[in-house]
Amino acid sequence: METSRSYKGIFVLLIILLAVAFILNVSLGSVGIPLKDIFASLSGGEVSKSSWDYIIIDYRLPKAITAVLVGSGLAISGLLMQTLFRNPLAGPFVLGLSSGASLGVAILILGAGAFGGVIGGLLTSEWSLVIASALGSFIVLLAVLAVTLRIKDTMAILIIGLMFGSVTAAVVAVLSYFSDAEQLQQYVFWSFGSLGNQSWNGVLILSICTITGIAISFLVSKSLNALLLGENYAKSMGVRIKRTTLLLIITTSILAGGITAFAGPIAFIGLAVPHITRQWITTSNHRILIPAVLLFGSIIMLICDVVAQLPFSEYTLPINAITSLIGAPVVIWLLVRKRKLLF
Amino acid sequence: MTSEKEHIILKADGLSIGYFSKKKIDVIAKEISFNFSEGTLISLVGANGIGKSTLLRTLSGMQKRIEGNVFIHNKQLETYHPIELATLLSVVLTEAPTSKNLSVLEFVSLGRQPHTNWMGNLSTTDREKVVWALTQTDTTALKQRSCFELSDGQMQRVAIARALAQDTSIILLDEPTTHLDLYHRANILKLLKRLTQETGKTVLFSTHEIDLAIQLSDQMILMTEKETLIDAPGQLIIKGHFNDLFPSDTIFFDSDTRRFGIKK
Repeated sequence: METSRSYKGIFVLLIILLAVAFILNVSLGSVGIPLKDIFASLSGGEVSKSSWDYIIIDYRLPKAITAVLVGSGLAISGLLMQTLFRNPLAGPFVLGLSSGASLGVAILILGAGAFGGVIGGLLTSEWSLVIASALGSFIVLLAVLAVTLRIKDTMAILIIGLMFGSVTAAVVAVLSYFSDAEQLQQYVFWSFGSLGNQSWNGVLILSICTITGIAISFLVSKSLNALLLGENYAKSMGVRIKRTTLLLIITTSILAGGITAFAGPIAFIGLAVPHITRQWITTSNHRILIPAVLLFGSIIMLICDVVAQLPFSEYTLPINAITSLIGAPVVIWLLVRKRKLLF
Repeated sequence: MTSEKEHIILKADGLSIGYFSKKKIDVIAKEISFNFSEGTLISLVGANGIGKSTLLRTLSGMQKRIEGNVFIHNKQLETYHPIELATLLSVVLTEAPTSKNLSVLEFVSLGRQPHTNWMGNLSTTDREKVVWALTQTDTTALKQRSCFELSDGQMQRVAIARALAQDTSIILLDEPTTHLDLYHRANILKLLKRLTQETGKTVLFSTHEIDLAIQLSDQMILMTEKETLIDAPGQLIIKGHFNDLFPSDTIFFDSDTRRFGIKK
């Protein structure tokens, strides 16, 4: 697709903003650490206090990297789904993907308690959370897609996504009833969403999921552009619809599933970031949109995390609450201002 | 010289079209056979619901045929790889693009997709084809506009430009003149006529503008309840087939003026 203007300036700005947000994210926290020592620690130099070095390298840095991975991955999965479903309101949360992931994790954590026994201990390793979560979101996405093939009305698909949310909540309630307090607490904390407390091993798994998903979305960007004209036009230009759809479904479930497993169900990033980006750079060309959405998602997530940390205080707010508090008004504002979402 | 001119581009052989539903086949039209050569303008006419869109969808490979065969450049339609087919046949659909946020330039350049690499990068040739398509359809001035800003007539020209940019020897258009006033209808049909004459493309379009179609088309496909007739407009008039098109108690065809009239 030919684009008439140059986006170099926008990308330079986004990269600078990302760098600033990243430094800000690493610098601010419950313990005040001078900027000099932060740079020293990041570059492997001498740090005034060894505990600061530990805080930065083993807590804040993995958290900041997680924020980048989560923000970019969720935003990309939202973009892919909005194009696939030809619906500007699609996103991992609205379509019930996050609910599916929650259900997977709930069955794993709470079910281990309910069904008890030997498998309980085995199941709660890092990989099993990822698999349960990805599987949950994959099943929901397949169900949503099966519905899409039968029903042309996209509003119906969104309602079905909401229904999946309700079913999940109900199943979780039933499971909670039979679970003990410790497991329930583990699940509730997971559902608050959290970027912190990730081991470097966890960060590695998360980056494999995110990078795979993002790489595939770059590969299909040509077909995504064709899909902007609708399925029939895309077909007439040689796009193999079934194959592309399946690839997009797998990609979004890897992204949304993997991220939800590590960081919990984080709301609104997937829905709001592609919209804000589209309004701002006024193009639907995926070759421009994908990198822009990716950068913008990372920046927003880093900033949300800074807010959630309540710098210089001992408290940390659930990240999910912050993204919703920021995301929901943005979506409302976009709808009210434009009366329709640019797509 | 005539042998090249007679080169068959689009061929149907005993074609039956319709829908496969649960356990039963709904045949809409059958025994359709034609041979269309290079540079032919063909109009497809018939009453509402007679199967014009179904025929176009079947010819473009979007819908399965029930019986018979479709040949594109003497090769059976189904044997083409989707991308190869997309370099030979393009479509202009009645549906508006899903995304209205695209600029005209972006929209038209999407037509180059079957020719570009996996990244969709446009080469110099691709850019030239896009410029050519915009010029042919007189839409160069619109290229920076977004699709949602365009009028129906402008959007139709842009949709044709996209098909032209795809650079295929066959273009199928589904009712390209709907929602347009008389001037814009004539304008679009003249554009199609010029394209067949100047570029040698084979253009097949469905339309309700039978009067205009009779004046401009080289061949016509006339779909009625009973049969599907294919001939030059003059021949169809002589044989009186236009009278079969609509119920005769309401509409009649005057073969002297080549126009339809309403029975009072």
